[in-house]
Amino acid sequence: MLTIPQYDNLIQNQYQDAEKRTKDFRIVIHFDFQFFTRYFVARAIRRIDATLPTYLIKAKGLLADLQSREAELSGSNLRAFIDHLDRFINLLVYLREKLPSIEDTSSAFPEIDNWKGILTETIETLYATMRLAKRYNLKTPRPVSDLAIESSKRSLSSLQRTSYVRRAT
Amino acid sequence: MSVEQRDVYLFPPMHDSSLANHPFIVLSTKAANEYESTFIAVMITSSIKFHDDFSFDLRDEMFEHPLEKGGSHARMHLVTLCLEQEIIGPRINRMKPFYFKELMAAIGDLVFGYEFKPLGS
Repeated sequence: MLTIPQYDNLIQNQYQDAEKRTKDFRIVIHFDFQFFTRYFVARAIRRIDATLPTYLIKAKGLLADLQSREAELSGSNLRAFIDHLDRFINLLVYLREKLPSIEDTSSAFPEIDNWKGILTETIETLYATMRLAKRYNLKTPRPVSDLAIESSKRSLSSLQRTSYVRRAT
Repeated sequence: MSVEQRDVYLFPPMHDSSLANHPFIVLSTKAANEYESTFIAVMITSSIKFHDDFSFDLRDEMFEHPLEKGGSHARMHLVTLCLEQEIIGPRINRMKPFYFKELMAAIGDLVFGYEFKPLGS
């Protein structure tokens, strides 16, 4: 059984690992494949390809673990864990959305063909984990915010104007 | 104007006129939106002050065009009834289906305690 700091470390380590491993690839995406030697691109791709499936496997394990501990974790402070998850999702979303820009190149690097499916499933699993963590996370009620007032007034105004139109017709 | 699910529109502030116009993501379907020219949407903000468990973080890559401000998030619990006639200008953006599905799943789970899934999935 993992403790909450272990959850934090697990996801933080994965994020840091992904950031390190994708650094060269992100540089390649940011500029253009043609500016780099085939060796550099191949090395950048290899560094990600080797670990991408492990992110998915670990994410699924983490989700299953959290699902089985609802009673124990409800009301805990999972803020740090949620923040790390968010950063990790952010990085994977960036990678997933940049893949179409390298489609022309993917024939030269067939490893890339599998990435979208793996990234999609990993992101979905991490989002499911985040929803669960947010559900468990300790919440303290906050005072009514300006945004909440804004939202309520807009809804009320829309309702009043709609019912006015109804009465008039 | 045809308001569609996943569209992003700007609305003027109602509560404090000194505030900037707020973008909203349309949640309801086109058929529902056309029925009475009203639609259901969630507000986007970039304020850190309001960032919490009811925030769904939004990134440029989740939309057809980059967002105007960094650090944007949807306030999932502030589901709002909007009038089409109060929209300012044309549609400013559109959320990609994959991330919209995740936004709806998060709203269903955290705000309503229901599992929202797109039809046909």
